Amino acid sequence: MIACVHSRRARPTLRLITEDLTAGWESPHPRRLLADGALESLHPLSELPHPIVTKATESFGADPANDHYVGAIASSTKLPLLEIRTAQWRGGVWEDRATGVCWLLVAGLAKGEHQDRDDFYQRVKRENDTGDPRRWLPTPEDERLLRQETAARLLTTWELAVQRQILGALREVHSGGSARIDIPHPQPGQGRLALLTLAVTPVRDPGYEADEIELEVAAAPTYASTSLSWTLTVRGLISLSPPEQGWDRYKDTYTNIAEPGGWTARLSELEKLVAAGKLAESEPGSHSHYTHREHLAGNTIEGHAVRALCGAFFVPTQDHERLPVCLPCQERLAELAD
Amino acid sequence: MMRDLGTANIPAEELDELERYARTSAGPELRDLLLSLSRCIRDGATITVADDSTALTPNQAAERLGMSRTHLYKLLDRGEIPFHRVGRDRRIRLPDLADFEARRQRDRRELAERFANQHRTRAEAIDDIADLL
Repeated sequence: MIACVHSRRARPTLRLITEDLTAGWESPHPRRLLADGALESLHPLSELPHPIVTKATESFGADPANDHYVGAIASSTKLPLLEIRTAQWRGGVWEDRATGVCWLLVAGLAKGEHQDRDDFYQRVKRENDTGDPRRWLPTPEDERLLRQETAARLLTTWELAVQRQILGALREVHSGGSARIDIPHPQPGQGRLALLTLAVTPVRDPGYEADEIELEVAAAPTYASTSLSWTLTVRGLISLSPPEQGWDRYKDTYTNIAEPGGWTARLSELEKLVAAGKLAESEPGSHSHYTHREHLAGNTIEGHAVRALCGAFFVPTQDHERLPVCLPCQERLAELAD
Repeated sequence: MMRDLGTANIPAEELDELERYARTSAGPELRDLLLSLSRCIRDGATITVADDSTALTPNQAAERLGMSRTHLYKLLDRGEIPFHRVGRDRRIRLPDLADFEARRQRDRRELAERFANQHRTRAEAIDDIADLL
């Protein structure tokens, strides 16, 4: 099961990036990030801008039938290494049979007709004969980064699928009606994460005409209020309507109001995003609100929401003063000043 | 009987003063009352004084909540807001409406924070999935 979750394509170990790849980088950023310990920012490791990493990725991809390499490195008898070459760079790739993942374990330059002490082949032979090449194998930290990278990929793929499922439901109900959406856990085989109910109600009262939408999120008991079910909720809401402050909430039911036909209009925008394989992005408030000034400084730092005079909740940020002032807030302030 | 009291023009310094009085000189019951009053005012809430038996029609309730009657009726039908009947009409007691509004405000506040922190939430979700691998 686990073998098919991870990407097979070759990836470098942290030891290799730090100790072996001291030169030849096409950009100084990765080693800077590494020095700062910002390991997650290096993802995906297979795409780091170094010729030998690029070569490894090209040589060992998703399908083993397309692997191409020079051959096994004969002097490495304790650790099976497959040789790759690009210009002066040489590398040894090892395939982890347990997970199917290929790792670029060792790399260096071919030097001095292979007589130089720093020569790649000399190093591999010396480690094999007098050291322990198993010290090059992926460490628990390498394995952790692999799991993180795989999890991030699973989550993005899943978010795109959620957006597609929301689109399917909206197609059914955009002008009225209700539809159910069964959302699986991002990791295949983990069962249902939540059941969504999407409903549109056209309201045509004298003096008030609108299409009201409602998304109910019923998370499976194990996942209620987890980061995963919140990621689902936020993804669902943004797919339907990106402006954050347009959403009302009570318990697990989220509501929004559009002019008559508004959800039909959103349908075609969502169609375009899904066709392009892009995730909708949320829009934080497009207006600045009036609230109690004393509260602002503290809440900007802590990330807590405050209530504006118009009733909207928002988490204040430093840049809100550049935005136009919210009209209902302005009206409330004027009313109160009278 | 029902009366709305405006609060937005009360200067923050006077609220500081009120809280200082509540903390240092008031008895425990008055202290709690004044501090929660001050917290509501700082939150920009309108304070409504009413006697417990005040009841609103669905129209009035929908207007106070800033939602359509259609939506309010859904909430009543689901039992989210208690009501009683006067003949065939429904009536909602003001304290029940205030309870609902307080819970809704809490839920909306949490949603605003979830939107603002969505990248952090997503990173936590990645950690949770990674733990299963």
